[in-house]
Amino acid sequence: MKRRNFVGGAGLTGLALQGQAPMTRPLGAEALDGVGSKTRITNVKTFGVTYENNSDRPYVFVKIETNDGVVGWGEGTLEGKANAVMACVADFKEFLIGADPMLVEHHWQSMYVHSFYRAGPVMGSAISGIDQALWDIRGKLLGQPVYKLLGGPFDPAGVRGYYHVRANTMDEMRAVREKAAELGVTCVKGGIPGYYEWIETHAKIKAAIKHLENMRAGLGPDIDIGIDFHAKTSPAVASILCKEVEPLKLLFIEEPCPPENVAAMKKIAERCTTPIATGERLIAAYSCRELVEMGVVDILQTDINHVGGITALWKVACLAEPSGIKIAPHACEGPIGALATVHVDAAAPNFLVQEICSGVVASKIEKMWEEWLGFPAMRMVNGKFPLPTKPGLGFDLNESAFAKYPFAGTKPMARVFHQDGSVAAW
Amino acid sequence: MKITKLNAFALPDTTVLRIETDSGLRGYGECRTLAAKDLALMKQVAMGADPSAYEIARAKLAEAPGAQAAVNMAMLDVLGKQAKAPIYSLLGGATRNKVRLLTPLTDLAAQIGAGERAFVVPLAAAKGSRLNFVANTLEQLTKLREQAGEGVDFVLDAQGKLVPAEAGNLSAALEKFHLLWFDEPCPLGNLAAVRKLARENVTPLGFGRTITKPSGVPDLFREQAIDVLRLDIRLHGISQIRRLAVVAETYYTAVAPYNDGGPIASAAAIQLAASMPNFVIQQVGALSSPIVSGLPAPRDGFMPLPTAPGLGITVNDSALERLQEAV
Repeated sequence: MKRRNFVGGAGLTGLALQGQAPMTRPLGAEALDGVGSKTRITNVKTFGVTYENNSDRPYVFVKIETNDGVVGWGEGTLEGKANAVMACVADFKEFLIGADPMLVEHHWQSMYVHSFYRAGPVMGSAISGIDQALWDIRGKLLGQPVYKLLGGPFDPAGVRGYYHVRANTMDEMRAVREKAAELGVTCVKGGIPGYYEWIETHAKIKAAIKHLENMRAGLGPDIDIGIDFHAKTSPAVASILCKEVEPLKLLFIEEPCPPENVAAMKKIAERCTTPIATGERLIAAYSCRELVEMGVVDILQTDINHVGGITALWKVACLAEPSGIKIAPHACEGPIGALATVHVDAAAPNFLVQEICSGVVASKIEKMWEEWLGFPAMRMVNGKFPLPTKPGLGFDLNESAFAKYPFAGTKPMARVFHQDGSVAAW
Repeated sequence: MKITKLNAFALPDTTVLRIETDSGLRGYGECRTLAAKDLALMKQVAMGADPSAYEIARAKLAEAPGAQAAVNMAMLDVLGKQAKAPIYSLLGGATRNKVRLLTPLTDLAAQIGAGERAFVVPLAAAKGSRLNFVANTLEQLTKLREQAGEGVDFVLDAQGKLVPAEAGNLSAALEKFHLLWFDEPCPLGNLAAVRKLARENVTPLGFGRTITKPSGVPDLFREQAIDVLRLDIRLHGISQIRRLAVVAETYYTAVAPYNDGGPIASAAAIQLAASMPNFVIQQVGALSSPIVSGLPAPRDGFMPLPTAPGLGITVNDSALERLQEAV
């Protein structure tokens, strides 16, 4: 990579591109000329990628192009809201075109603060996609993988990961156990069956406990198990389940109740010794503060595609560290966000384990990722996701790869109902 | 439309209200036995009022909870009849197609035969030692479950009679029995003790029947003290519980209105249940009487939603008029 001049630039007020009129620059950009690079963002593109007809999460990728040919990729996939995120990324174009891509914290602050309304998941996902792309560019311009810019890696062999268990019978669970052992996988995650009303029947509670006991029995004593309640249980129901499965020594129970009421989650945490994990639906580090402060959470799981990208996920890790809280980031969308997460994990002293919503056996989706990126992205080796070695996020991607998967619009997330027809959470 | 006439009829332990309007439509309500001064205030507020002003009446009757409840049901009943729609359709639409029912335990086998699947079990009075009391209660419940089968559920009702530590002892012993919840285990007035009880073990706690005003509710949630909000339909009426259910919803807390009244109160509770997303189960007694008919029969633990206008019931006015008027 050729050397570039970063600090002490020409102080241009408008950047002339070959044969084009001087480029409009974002408001306030001139104030930081001379303390950044001469590189300028020339374009921000979004790609909606419908890789499966009925998936609720067609990927939303962001590509940021610059005047010296370096491009950055990011991901803002938001389940059930693809169109909205792409529109929101487009709304941020005027914050970015003509701007210096090296000023990632400045741009993050501008997008967040100057939007006035605090970011929800749509804006959070848009900022996430842009932020990841800016970090990709930053790493490429500086000739370093992002985890090195963040001070890592703690472990050159990679970051510990977990796959999802999609097994119901004891035979299926034993098969997962054998495959995990063969791959050196040390952790898996499962869920609880069905949907839950806010007070539940004996039969329903017993079935959930039995399912978890079977999972421990089928997977054996030598693997860590996380269980995702997916916020489909109320504090009342979750409290019973979390306490009754204490003997299974789960690695964590995730989202035992919805995330907005921290005191409600605290009441669950107070009555069980099973570690509590939460955070995949939270946006920006600010939203995690109360969980940490009130002693509710053991593990934070913010998602790099929603929380606000690398910048915000790294801040969540910083917030958690002095309180002895670990991070185990959520990753259930596409490969760009997942790889970006691995960079943050590798540089986090309080990293626990990294999710990928894949099984122990790679499906056609993981094979598609390999086709796009040229290596088996987010497949573990000896129980760890290997670290990319190239600068930036560590992959080369040609947008023509998506031609086979034209965007077919937003698809809603699952809509499920209780037996009386009332709305259920899944 | 104006309310032109109001009659309150005294039944044992309950009061039935009938309002008449200049449109000819009549509405009915039910509340806990009314004091004479509350009846007088009710007449003062309701006479001449437009039934659509049910929130205004609720505010004006804030100091007379029962009267407020009955007027609220009756006004909504008239409004529903005017619109030819059930009350739940006026309140934002049905959130479910049937309502899970809870009934006081009388004869388990007969009740299961009649389609009932969830029961309130009164806590038997303590006899002998503390150790025996806890063991006997667990044994009584375990026997009931054996007789009823796994698909039947129970609420244990202590009527607020236990000392907080006794309640804690018992609810800890019942954790793995999976009661739907432990109802009124100790006096709610000692909120600090209830808060402690709520943190000692995971048996869900139900409270609310002793609360007469909305201002009694927020502290229960602020203290994360309860799992089921059990406001009495005969003290709060439909719209007040609907509003307080919104507070409960922000705490992910279930609502199961308390109801030991007659079929008019039950009909009102069913309309309310249909409208609340965080509803779980409705306590009912007899679903019909010589005065009231029309509520659907329970099937497999649920009542299908009534579809007739207003409260969805038929009232026999001549039978009602034979009752003594409350004064």
